[in-house]
Amino acid sequence: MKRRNFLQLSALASGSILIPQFLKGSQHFLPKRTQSNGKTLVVIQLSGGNDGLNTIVPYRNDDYYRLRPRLGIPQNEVLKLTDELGLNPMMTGLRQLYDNGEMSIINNVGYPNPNRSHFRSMEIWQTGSDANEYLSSGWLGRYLDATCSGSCTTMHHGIEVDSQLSLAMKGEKVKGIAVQNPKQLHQVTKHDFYQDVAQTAHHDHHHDHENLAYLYKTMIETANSAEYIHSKSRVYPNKATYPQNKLARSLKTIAQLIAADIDTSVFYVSFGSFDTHANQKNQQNRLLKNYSEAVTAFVKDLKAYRKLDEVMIFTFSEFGRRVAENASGGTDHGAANNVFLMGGQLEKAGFYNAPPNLKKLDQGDLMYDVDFRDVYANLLGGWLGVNAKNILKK
Amino acid sequence: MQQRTIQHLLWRAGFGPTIQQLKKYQGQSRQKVVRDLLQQSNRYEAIDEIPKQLLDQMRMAKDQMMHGMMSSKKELRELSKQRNRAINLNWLGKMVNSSAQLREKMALFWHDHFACKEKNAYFTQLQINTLRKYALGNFGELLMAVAKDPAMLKFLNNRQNKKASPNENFARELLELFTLGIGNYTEKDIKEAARAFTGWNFDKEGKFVIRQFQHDDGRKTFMGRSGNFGGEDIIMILLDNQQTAYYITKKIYQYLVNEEADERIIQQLTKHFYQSNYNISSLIEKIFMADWFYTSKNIGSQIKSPIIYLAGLQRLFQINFPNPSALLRLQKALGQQLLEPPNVAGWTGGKAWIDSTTLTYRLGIPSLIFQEASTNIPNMAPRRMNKQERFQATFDARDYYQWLTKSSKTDMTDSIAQLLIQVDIGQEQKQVLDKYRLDGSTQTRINGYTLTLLSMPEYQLC
Repeated sequence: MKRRNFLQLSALASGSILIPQFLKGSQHFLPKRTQSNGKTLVVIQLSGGNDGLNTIVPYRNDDYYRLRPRLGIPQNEVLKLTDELGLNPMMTGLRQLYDNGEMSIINNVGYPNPNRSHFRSMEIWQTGSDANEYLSSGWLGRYLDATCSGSCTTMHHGIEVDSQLSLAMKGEKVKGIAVQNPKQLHQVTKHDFYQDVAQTAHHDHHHDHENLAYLYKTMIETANSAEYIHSKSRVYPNKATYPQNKLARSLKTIAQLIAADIDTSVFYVSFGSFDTHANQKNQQNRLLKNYSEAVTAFVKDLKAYRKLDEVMIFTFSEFGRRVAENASGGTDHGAANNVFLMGGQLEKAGFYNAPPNLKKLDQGDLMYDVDFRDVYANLLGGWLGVNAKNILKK
Repeated sequence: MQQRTIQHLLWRAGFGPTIQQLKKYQGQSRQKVVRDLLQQSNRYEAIDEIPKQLLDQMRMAKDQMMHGMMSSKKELRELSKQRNRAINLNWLGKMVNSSAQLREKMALFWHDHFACKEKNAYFTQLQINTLRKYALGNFGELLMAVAKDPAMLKFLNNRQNKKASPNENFARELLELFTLGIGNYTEKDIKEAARAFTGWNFDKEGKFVIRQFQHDDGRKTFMGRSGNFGGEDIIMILLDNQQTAYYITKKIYQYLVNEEADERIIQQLTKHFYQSNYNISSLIEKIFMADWFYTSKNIGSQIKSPIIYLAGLQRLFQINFPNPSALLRLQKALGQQLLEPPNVAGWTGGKAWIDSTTLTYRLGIPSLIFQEASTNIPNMAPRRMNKQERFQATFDARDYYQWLTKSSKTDMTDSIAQLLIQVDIGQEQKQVLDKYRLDGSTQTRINGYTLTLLSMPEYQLC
């Protein structure tokens, strides 16, 4: 074949030939899941270990100012929420959410025998494991497993807006899909060669070859989901103005997809780096400003589309930081930390529990009083309406 | 031996075939080929990328830091990263080019088994060399050496394991991941083993020492035996337990043969391994000499790990990246970076290598690397990769062309498929392959068909 003919052929080949017959449903090729309750969970991962004490500031606590003579945020700058706690001054947007009853803060979240390595602690949070247990699937991936009956042929029930899929989104059977830019992924999978190869998948000879069948299945599902996600993106314009930062761009994409009623119950994004060992103040303030502005715009956008009541935004970091500042104007790796929930249907807006106890530390770090898996259990059971016990294996 | 079975052996005993190897082994007996592969791997050459003086330099830098020269901390960390990258590339280069293929292949297995991360590049090098040196030797000696390596002493906190405050981390993983496997010991065994390893440490040269004043030399009861055990005694008791032989044999079988374990065969192999006093190459020879190893159930049954995928591609086409950081980026994008196992349990492997993103990358990488070759395949590399010209590579396919043009097959495409793909290609797939055939010179036709096959799901298997 000549190059020119090839190009003509590719024009013909694009479009709907991709989906093998056996995957086609009655009218839509995407089977509905059995157990989705229509609610959406958006997880924001603050990578690197966000310093929770300079995010939610215990501005009446003498120990805080004693242990952080340079880094402590002066009382008069704190955006006060309660008699004891207030927000980092950069987070004016969150103040608004808090006042509207759209934000909930859980203090002192962690787990027994905290690990202070970024990688390991993040893995513990993403898999929902104990500190001395190694799981090869993520908690949200196992949610995808649980909501998929029979042979699940779609990945877009869980979407990570990134170029790589986090362990959190990988189940034992089902994996979510990582999409940085719906248009770009769609361009790859709609290549005629990709489609032609995927098209061959319904022929029997793979069925006795498990790994080959799995490769073809992944190929088809990627194409299906890429096509579907692309069809749902940029259908509705964003109704809020977003700031210019990476998190905002991701949330903007997610808002468009939610506005278009995409059949996705979990979104995942990460943002960082919060690993502030030195000169923390400027870096953390900048990141928290970005975070606050991005999330505020996202909430506004969802509200404008009347979707906020169906969405829960959950923010966490792999650990908090040492209570005492170090000699280089930063903080080292710590343990328990606060997490945030935002949405229109919070069970308990405002502060969920008592502020951290700075008198009772473990090797200089905050001790946890809420296990992060209890938070997960609530998100899975209370919000997404599934049996959390099976998913968390607890 | 026939071509497909030779290739099967070369994918499992190494990182895939080179044309040289195919020429050499064609028609030879299985015994001769297996013996030759083992013999080629007798040679051990240490990776010598990092000079020992690095330890002194780092100590000096740390002193400077303590005296307030903070800027050096970041520099030091960056320098260490760079050096670890150099070790990564050096080792990957050995996987591609060394004739001791089986040694490097098993060293990669042990790197996964004794998964460990270490920032200090000199210690990283020591550990990788330990794994490579003992890769085909005696498992007991390997285990002992790994346990005494600074990287492992650091990684699993044996250095912090002291009489007054035992740290169980190493003892737990030793039992759970390195020897017996989960469920074959009690929590009490872990506590007692931890006591036996108290005081294990290394000196400033990285040499193993036992700090006697931190060592608990009291009586311990471990797995039904009592005595004033030290760490070495614990390891000897574990080796004496046939469960260790079973656990290691099964893992090696799953690595070299099939993820799906065949218990009957594994029992036989375990017996042999145990009776040979944990002789690794003897176990491997037994596997490669067995008829069951060459059954169609085992050929092409595995998903290539990213490292095997990259090394295999480089081997066959003599690919060279002018900017070697491309190889680091590819490792990262595909989800397996040497020296960076995800945790102490190693890589999950198998189907876990493949998700929407990594598969899309894999199907796109060949067109990215061979972008100069004239071809019918649309460049399927994700744009994020595509923008980066640093992936451009040179390759030397002279042997490859020569092999194909001399092939006895009537249709050259069959020869190409036979060389690249370890499973049968279905009729439907053949039609797609035909559709993308290129007209033109022999070389153009070979290039086109090669790239098409490399971009297929079938190529992900070995």
